[in-house]
Amino acid sequence: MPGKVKVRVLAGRGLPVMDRSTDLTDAYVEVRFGTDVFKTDICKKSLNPQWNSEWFKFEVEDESLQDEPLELRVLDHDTYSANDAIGKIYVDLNPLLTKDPLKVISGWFPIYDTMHGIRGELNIIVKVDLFSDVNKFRQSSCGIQFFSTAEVPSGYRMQVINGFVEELVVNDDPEYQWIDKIRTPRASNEARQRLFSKLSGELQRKIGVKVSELGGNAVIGYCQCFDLEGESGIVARGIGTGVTLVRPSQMMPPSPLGVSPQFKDMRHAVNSLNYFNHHQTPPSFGPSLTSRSHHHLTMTPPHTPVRKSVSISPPPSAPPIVSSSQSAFSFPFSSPLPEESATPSSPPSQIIRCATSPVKVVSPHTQVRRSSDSDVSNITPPKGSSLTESSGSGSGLGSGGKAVTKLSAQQPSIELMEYPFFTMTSFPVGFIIHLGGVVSAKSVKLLDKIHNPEEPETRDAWWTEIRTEIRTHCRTMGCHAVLGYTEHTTICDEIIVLCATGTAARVNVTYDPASSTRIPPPAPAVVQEKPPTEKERDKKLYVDVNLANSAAQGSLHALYDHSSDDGAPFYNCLLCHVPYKPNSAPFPVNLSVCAICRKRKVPDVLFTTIDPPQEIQTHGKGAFIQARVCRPKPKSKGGESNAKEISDCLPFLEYELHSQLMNKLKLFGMNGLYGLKMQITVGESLLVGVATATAVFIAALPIPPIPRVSGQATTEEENNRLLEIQKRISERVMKNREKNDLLHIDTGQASPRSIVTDDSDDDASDLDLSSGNKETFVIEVDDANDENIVALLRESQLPEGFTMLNTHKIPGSTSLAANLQMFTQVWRQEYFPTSRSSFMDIFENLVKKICYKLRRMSPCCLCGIDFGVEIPEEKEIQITLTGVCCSTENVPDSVFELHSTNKGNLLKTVQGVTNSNNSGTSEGDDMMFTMEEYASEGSVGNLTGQVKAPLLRQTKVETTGTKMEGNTRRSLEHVHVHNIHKLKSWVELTPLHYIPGFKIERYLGNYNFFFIRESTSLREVGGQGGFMQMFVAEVMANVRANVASLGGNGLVSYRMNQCVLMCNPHKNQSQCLINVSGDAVVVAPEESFPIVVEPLRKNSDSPVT
Amino acid sequence: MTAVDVFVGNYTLIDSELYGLWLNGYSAQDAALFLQKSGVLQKADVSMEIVYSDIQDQYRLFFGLEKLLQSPPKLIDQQIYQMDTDMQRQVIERYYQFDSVVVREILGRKLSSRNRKDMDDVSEKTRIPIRSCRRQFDNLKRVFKTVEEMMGSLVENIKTHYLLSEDLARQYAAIVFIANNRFETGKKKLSHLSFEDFVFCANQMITNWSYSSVECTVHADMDVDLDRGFLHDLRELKMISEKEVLDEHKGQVISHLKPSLTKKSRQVLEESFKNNSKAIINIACGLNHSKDVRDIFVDLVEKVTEPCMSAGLSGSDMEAFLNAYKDTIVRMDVFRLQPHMLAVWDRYMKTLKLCVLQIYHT
Repeated sequence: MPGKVKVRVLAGRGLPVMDRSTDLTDAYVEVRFGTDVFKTDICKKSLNPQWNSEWFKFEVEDESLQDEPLELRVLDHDTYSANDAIGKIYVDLNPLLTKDPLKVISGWFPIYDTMHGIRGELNIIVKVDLFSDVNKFRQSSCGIQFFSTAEVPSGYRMQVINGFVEELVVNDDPEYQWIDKIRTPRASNEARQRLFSKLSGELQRKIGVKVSELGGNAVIGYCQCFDLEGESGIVARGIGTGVTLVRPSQMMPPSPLGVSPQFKDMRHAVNSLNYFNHHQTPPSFGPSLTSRSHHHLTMTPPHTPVRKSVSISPPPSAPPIVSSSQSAFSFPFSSPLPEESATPSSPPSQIIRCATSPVKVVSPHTQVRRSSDSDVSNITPPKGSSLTESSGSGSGLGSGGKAVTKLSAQQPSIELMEYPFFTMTSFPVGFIIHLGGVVSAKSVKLLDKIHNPEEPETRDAWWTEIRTEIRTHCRTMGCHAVLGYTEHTTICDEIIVLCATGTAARVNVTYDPASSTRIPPPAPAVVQEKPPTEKERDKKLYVDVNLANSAAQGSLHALYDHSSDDGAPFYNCLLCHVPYKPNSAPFPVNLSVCAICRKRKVPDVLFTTIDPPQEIQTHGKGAFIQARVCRPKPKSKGGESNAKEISDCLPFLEYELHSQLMNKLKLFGMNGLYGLKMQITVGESLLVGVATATAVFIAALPIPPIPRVSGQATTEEENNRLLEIQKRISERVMKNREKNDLLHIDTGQASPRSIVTDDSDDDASDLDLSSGNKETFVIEVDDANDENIVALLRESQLPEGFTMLNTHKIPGSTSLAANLQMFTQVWRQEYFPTSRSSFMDIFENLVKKICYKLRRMSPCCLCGIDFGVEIPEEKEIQITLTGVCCSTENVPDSVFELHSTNKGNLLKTVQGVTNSNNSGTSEGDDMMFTMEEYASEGSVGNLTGQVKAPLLRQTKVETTGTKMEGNTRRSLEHVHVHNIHKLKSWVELTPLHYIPGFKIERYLGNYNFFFIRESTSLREVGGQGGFMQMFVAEVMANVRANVASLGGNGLVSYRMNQCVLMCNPHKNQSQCLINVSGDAVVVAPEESFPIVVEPLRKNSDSPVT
Repeated sequence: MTAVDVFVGNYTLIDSELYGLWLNGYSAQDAALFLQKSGVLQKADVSMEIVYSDIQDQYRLFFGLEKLLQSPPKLIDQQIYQMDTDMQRQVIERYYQFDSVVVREILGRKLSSRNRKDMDDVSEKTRIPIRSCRRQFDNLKRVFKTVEEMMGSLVENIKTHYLLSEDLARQYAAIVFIANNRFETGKKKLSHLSFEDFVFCANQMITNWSYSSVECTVHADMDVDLDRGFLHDLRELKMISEKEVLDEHKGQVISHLKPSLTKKSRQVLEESFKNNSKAIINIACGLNHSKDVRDIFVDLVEKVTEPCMSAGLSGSDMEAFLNAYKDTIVRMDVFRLQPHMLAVWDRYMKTLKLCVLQIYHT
């Protein structure tokens, strides 16, 4: 859609002094879009100029509207010499290109100069008038919404998943063009920054076209990266999941019964209606099944594999009975039983299994369709052959597959997707059927071997190769989808390593939106169902009217809010069951019987890259786990051999990462990993791998045994040492279990939220038995000083009062109360690989540092922790760490009391520390007398601050401030008062998909910021550290200003995609590039309050911290 | 050696303790040592390196803030550091706080870069780190330069341009006032007077004797100067020193004091009445000459408080005397020809009395 861009420049403030003689500035602004330029008048001799310009209008066509940023340049007018640049503002117009007509960008933008940083601010208004489609034949992607958020955005409902979308754009890097030799650093930086912005726009536009071709209207889990290849150019890559989103208000006819499902449910609505429909077709469901289904009927409301969205799913016309029997047909899919009762009605997957497809590798879903796919040829020979082999057996199911496609007009079945990849990390309930495990693929390539560097073909081919491999791996695990899919590269000179990771899974994408939209849900009575994991004799009937009512109240609770009363999770152990046949496991794995249903097989550990799904029941808390490996690598002798060296080394590196993860996991006494992120970095002489994840105890999986040390002890002394190690390991495991509330989990189901009650007793005995049968986990010790073990035990614990996680959702009984602080830590140091421990220490230290920094916020939870490791120079390691510190609250359950007392104690100690600090200060020496004053004043301030403080400090206030005993529950009234009184234009940033304590009212647009900053007076700005600190702060300030200008007050899914720092301390010069992205949002406090757009102010008590 | 090690939060949080140390002129190393001594390392179970890294982060932040603190409204407007207004105010307030011992030393010196060098001596004398002394000096100088030429109320000007609290703004106003009138404060004779004494006196003078005082009819000029008209009128007080007036005045005062003072004190006062009265009147008349204005504190001490103190008069004796001295004139009908002089007398004596009592350290 072409449009008219209208810009008005109102005023400036805090401009720098550009004219030494008058100490003032004669400023004017150039407004540029594409090639058109307008200028404001010169506002003479003012540091706070008022222009109040007319509306500058640009008529632009669709493409440049999306690609080009609006550029405003502030200059100082000089009569005799050239006009001096003060700085620039880039405004991304994409957020304005939606159908929402009232959108305006207006506000104070920091005037940013790549050489001097932020120099004053400019007040502007930008509007875009879009013309409605003039040309029906031209594909436009205007209006396709992008979300960095890797889940269904809150307030939306996903109607259709259209599939994986990717795009790749290549351009010359201005830094490497000849012209760079003659232009100023500023000009060069600006050219580059502009290019990045343009590439990002182009990328989004192209992806947008793809999505609209697929019939979608949004991209979620959008992830954009720049590969700075150097000589061969800049590659902008984007991947995401194309979906069709609807706003429930536009979507759902209000149900007469007031059951219009609560948002949470809506979002899960991508369910498996189709399955039902199409399973209905086979005439041959065995009587056994039917009877079983009736069994269901008598005890439970009808259910579908989708946990909670039932209210939408049953076909409206169908009387309850029918719908229930339908769900019974879906039973084979969702229940643990059908395996034994291999009835003909079981879904295709089962048939294949029963038909014992000779090759275990491929799931039946990979059908003929797939083999006709051109890229099958890319598959490595053995796998390729297996694929063809299996396709024969799969073809028998073709009809079934077709039935699916026919029925779902829009939703492409998973078999039809070229790459059944999903970049989201959390999914609607019912979407995931089984989780297989982590799949990853890596490939080492040479950049100087690209024939045609300006063209994207070569890179496209590379990625196709990688993705195909992932797909193949996924099938090996008996899965047909990859969840939490990410791609990542590392570049060192001419070597590029491409990595892709994801979680293989079986999913349920098919869903007929038509039926659910056309027909309102039949009755509220079907809102709830019992977990299918239970045996039928469960007497509880869950017709939860309260739930229905509360749902009807329509509070759009986000998925994350799983702790809220009406959103009690319904656990489903199905997800943990292995998707492959036990005897045809793709790799050696210890299978045991599921601890919950006792029917199907589960692996002893489960690794995933996704966020904890609601359906999986976990015990205790989550714990942060990180494996770090650093291997020296011979220095490059030339591209080819170097590449070989690296690719030979990679498997060992990965193996080591894996075994470290495994050891640590066992040491924690846990059995599952969520949010696993593996990052491989290649340097000149180092190869670094870091794997980060959140460990949990998954209830369905067996209790991990205490690792047993084994080794050849030749002497008595060695033997003693081994025993010593064994003792320490056992102690550590017990300690970890205690810390993570895992001591009393033997009863299979501990959480009161689980509806399972009856058979927990027999479960316990069974479980003990099964865990007793289990093979013990053995840690091989070569000698008693084995570095591995030493490092393992050296691993320090987080300080009291801290929890750390890298997932968005918090497993276990704690939930987040409020954001305290989003942080970025950039660390860079020389590193000489000496021992394993020194490399470990870097990370340990960094974590400790963060905890020390945030010590005054404890007890708190550090969430969304993201480590980025780079090897910028031969002997240098750079780590960027981002995350958010949140205050926590415990879900009121049986363990609550225990927690609150703990918390109380903790708080007291914290307070004690501060007090003694204060007194220590005042006792200080005689020079410190102002300090004394302040110390006392400070603490008074603290108290008052805390009283006014938001939820997060609530507990503190009560224990320390007002001395209220016992009751550590936060009082909500407080929060309200706070919200009303403290309105200010704060902008909250968070790497999470949500802001705890707030609900997202609107998404304003996806932002991708690229900043370049250079300094030629490094010493004057406080050295490398001063430079970086300032730059990161400036980046955040820019982000906040952009969000605020759209009327937003938060940015979720904040990510620092890139941080490239080049220093040249000898020349007193330094340059840095930072790329950040996220979704601008409007949030409002969760409590139903008259819509308050501004977020809380968090730091009325901040002077302490 | 760590090349880069920085922590940046979305909210700019100031560590109150470190800010205090920084303001007090502690280097990052000193601050680390200080914290080490206070046992932070053990309490938090962290290494010195971590504490030091935290200190450096905060110090870099302070360094960045310092540029904005030169002109506090900028700190309020800026967007780089997301902090709440309370905290901004607090940061500003603390930055502009000073040690009265240091300012006492600076007081009376010209606020020029040349005198900045002398901060070494000040630092040595007060045992306050040189950095802190320099900051305090620079603050004074900056505030002085900003408001010296401004119209309107001195305190209000300082409050709007530096966003300081009323209390602190008053202190700055006093300093600016003293500096602008170049009051002598550094003489050895005055060394027993504290900074607070001067602030009190200066504020009294601002309120009652300057252009912004209620009695002043022409508010056109600046707050930092004394009301010229008033000073001019003060010359008329000369007549009180005339022999007849003096004697009558003396009689009145002594009889007035009879019920309230001891005999001894009365005797002393009777003996010193002439000197005291002359001194008070001379000071009044001298205020018309800028040279004498500068010496007002010296004169007060030399001619009024010291003789009285050495004669053994207590503070309350002095207060009683000054009250009587002021009030009896009204009854004496000296100003029968110039009735407006009554107001002038009142305006002069009210402030003088308070100043004398403030500096009357017995």
